[in-house]
Amino acid sequence: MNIIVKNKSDQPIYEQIEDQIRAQILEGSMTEDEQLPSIRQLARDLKISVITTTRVYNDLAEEGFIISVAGKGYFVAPRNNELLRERMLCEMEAALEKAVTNGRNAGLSDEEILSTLRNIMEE
Amino acid sequence: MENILEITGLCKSYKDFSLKDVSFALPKGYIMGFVGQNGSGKTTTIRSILNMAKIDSGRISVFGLDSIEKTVEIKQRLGVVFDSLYLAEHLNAKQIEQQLRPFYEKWDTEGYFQRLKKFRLPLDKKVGQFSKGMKMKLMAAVALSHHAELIILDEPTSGLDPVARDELLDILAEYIEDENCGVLFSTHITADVERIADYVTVLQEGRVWYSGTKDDLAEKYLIVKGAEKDFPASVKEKCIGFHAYRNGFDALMETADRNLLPDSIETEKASIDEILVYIAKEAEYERNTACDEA
Amino acid sequence: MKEILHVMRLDFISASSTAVTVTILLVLIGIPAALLFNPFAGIIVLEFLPIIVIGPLQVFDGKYGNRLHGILPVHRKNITRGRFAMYAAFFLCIQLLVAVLSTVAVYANLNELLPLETLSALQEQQFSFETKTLPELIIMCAMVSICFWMLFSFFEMSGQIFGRENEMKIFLISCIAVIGLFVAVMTLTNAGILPYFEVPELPATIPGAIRFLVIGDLAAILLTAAFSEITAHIVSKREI
Repeated sequence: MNIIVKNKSDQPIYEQIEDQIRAQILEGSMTEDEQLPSIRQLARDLKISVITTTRVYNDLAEEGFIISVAGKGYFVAPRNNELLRERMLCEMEAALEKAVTNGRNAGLSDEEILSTLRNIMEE
Repeated sequence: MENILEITGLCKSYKDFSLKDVSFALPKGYIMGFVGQNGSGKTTTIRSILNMAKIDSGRISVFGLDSIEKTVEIKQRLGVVFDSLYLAEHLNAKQIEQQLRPFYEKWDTEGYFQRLKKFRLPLDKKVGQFSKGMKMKLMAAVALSHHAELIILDEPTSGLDPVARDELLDILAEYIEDENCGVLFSTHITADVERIADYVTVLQEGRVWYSGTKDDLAEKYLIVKGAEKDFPASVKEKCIGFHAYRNGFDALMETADRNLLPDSIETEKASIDEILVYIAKEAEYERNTACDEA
Repeated sequence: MKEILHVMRLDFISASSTAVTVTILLVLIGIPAALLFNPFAGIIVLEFLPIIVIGPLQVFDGKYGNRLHGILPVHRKNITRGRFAMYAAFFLCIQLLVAVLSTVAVYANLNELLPLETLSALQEQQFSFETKTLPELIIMCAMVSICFWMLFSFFEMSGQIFGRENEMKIFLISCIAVIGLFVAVMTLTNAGILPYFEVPELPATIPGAIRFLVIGDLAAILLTAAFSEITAHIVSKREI
């Protein structure tokens, strides 16, 4: 898990961290069932308030990205987790929409776009 | 949530300064930053907790024990770091360990020397010859070497270079990993509080102006800026520390009042530093108005 | 009480670090002076030892402040008691050392080792005298030691209560008071108002001398305890 906190940014620290963890889970650089550092450990590593990291983990747990296992800590939620799945579907749709728009802007026909997609899937 | 430190209605008067009804609490497992102008009462409050100052009224309890009746028991479990060295300066770190060891039931000699090594403090040099940063780290080593559950620091980073300050924050961050401990540190260097504190208590002229989580404080206020003509008078009274200058004005306001503002007014996050400056200005205005009316 | 011992150790470590060189010097002068020359000289030299060792503690108090006392888990009164107990222990140890040296000096006749010319030259001086008897030496040691001890404890008390800066003033006032008292007693005695005070004869036997020493020490300990409690009572109420 790679977190970078920018103190001078206007964005609140908890938001920065949540965005980064979400992104890493969605793009796959954090894998299913991977254990996250404990709330206090994260606070210590980033030298920030424990209350902030608690909020981050609570928010992410509510959104379904991570789960808390009593006595063990926090883990990345399994892929079959409903909320996570929904979120990932949204991301996929948004990415596909963008791909289609880009393709059309480049002058490709819908069939050409579909065939490019099939090629990518076969790779 | 258990409170490791609880102050209720603390009042203490000196000739030209007094603490008025100071109340706040630090829950176990968290760090509280204690901020305020010079002379706002931070050191007096800390000295009251340590029973070095005699309080006029109010109650202070540490680990659930009364700070006056059980002061010796409390100090067994308490570590202190001051802005200047409180140890005998003509002794070296080894001799100081010999002096202090018998007093503490849970003194950890091995831990003490390990920490001295980690902090790169020499064993045979007179501690009076240490640099300011080294003296601070020595006090921290002592504070950490008897399994203290609460560490109180009074301006520990005053006069320190940024590297030493960072090292101290690191020490505190490592210490608070244990959720049975607590830290109270008073400082001017609000950047440190912004970063690492969980809770903040703001003192203004002997009174508690705010006490709560740092995140809540950050969200509770914002800075407003703009042209004075755009600013309705009714909203002006909700301002704290209104500062008008030739080309405009700036002031502090509660975020809750944001909807009263016209769109032409800019708003900005308020840092703790800025909050302190505005509330000091506001206090100045009130003093001047009181004088004028008198 | 354990806390008092811890405080004594704290003070001792604080004092001993500055005093090592001087202590060695004084001991190296004092012991030969006592054994080879005359024990009285040895007593005087060694009695200065507590002053050199303990004196700096008073300076350290002023320099480093009392914040350490506010931080350590110890009752404020025990900090004061520890200080006075340190003084008592120190002076009693010196007494013991001097008593041993005197005994050796008297019985071993080591002064005969010095060449005769040096000895007679020194004997012409005011304070030199032939080998004194052991009882006389013990009594001398007791009087000098207890005197210094009481003075030291008294000034510790006044220093803590009224502040170290005022010690000189208090010293002068005490001198004047004592002299005044002495003069008053003498005048009244000569005028026949007060009965003539017979100075009791000092014991001339060893057991008598030892009894004198022990009674003197007990009185001194009681007085030290009194100074200690008065100081502790007043100072422990102050803020740090």
